[in-house]
Amino acid sequence: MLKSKGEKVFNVFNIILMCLLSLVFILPYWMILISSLTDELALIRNGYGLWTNDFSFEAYRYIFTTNPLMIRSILNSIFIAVVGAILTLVVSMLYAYPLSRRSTKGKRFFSVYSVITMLFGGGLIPTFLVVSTFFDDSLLAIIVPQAMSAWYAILLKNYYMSLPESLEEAARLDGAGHYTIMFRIYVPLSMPINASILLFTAVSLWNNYTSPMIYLTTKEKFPVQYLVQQIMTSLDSIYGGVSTGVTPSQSVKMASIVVASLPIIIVYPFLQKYFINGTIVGGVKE
Amino acid sequence: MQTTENLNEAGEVITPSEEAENKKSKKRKGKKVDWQLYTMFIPGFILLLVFNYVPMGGLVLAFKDYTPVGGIWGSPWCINPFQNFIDALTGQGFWRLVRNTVAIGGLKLVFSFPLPIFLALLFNELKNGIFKKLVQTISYLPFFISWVIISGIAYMFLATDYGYINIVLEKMGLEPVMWYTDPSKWWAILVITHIWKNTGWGTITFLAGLAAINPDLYEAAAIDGAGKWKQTLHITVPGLMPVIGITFALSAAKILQDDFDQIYALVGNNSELYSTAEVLGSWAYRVFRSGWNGYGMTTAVGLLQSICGLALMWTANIIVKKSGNPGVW
Repeated sequence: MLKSKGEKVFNVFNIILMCLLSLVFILPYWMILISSLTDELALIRNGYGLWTNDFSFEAYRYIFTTNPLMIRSILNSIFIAVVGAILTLVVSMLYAYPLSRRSTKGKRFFSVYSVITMLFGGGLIPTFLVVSTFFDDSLLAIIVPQAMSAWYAILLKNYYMSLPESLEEAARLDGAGHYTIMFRIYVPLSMPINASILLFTAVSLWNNYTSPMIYLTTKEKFPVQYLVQQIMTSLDSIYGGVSTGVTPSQSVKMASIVVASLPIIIVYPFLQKYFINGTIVGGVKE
Repeated sequence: MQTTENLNEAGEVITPSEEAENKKSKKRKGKKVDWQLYTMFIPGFILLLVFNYVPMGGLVLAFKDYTPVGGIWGSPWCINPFQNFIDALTGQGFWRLVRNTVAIGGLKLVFSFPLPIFLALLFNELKNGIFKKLVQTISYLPFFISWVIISGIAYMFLATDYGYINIVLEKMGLEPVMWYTDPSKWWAILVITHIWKNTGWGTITFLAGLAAINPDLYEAAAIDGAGKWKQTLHITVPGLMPVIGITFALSAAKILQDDFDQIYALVGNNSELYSTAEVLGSWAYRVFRSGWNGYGMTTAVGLLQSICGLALMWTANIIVKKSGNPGVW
């Protein structure tokens, strides 16, 4: 089919617009990376920019060697993301499976019971008072209270219901219990959605700085996002007094931003399909 | 697709054997395994009870005079049950907080809601598959970047001495702008950073809506001589209307939910910006940090905020259902 002239013009315009848009999304990361690699004095002289001639790894050397907090915080974040994601998946799965079975009585109660928590909550102070009685200054305060997700339980329930029921019947004839059926048959068959849930939870835990801010007081327990937030707002509270020299404050800020975002930027393009997959399966999230 | 194949395989392996002879034991087992089903609810049930329902009960603090010794349950009730509400609502600057919360939420809705729809339409017109995928991937990325990182990016642009914007302004011979001490700029900054983070990812819902439109309609329209523009106007837009309607109703219902994550990362404890950039959530956090004296009052405000939010959500759901679409519940 022949294209009209207007269509061709539109297509060219569209491609140019998309290229510009991509630049708007990418350039900030580029500038952060360049700034983190710029010599502190050059940064103070010229400000942040698109390119530099005075490359220096001083900022990275500084954040990793001045004190062990940065490395500790990365390990803390990895712990929170990995353990938290697995726990969330397992708890939500266990809640979803009986909801998807026909023989379960009282399903309506259990689903309403969970959905209410999506619509209403205790708010900052009551939640803080309850959580901190269980987990005082502990990484578990970030992981455990969010581990049961009504939203993921609904997604998983719908997924299990889309699988043929003959699977369960057949396994039960062979004498398998519900746990065996779930973990041996249903879990392996729902790998795509499991992957989506693991990734979404891991990313949101990795990015979470407000819960650590509310529950943690010991610096050695800070996850990396909260540490970076502290570096951005009050550099001295992290590095002050420790070093004898002058803190390369501007490039250190940029380098810690790079360190805290790099894992996601590296991993994301490869796992993208699982993120999108999860949202499409669930329909409209948020 | 792949899953159905696996299923059949698994099904075939298991079904044929011992069907008849197990009938009796199946019945017995059916009873035995039923309680097992309920044990699966236990971890989730307990977590929701302890970390969601108990704090909901803790909302009684809104009517109490909190003391650290008494805690949630042992603290005495206020003499006037609504004392905390009165204290909050007549407190200095409270209505400014409400104004900021509603204004920032409203501006975000007005300016950032239409953008993903346009972007999805433009994505949909890209013919080159690889280019399309690349642009989409890039545009989704900011959604996965934390607000702390974005606050660093914002700092790089806005910092007074070294910030990129001021450097460019200086090169153009213009006066630098003191972004971090000028409250009049911050509604715009909050809306723009919100748009930057969420627009790309927001297209996903609308792209799914676009994919659901019957392609036969376009063919028929093309045969009738309708050009691309007419097709968009008469097929694409009406076809997308239900998704747009639902998404709008749900976003509008969230106007009172301030994005504490965003605002605290960008504004933090910078009191020079409070006059425009402090919202209910960041005020609650500040009061919480300054000691237990304000616990009752902030809980009261949180309760009001939740109730209003719930009412808005309820209304949105009714509107969505009335318009013939499946609601949220």
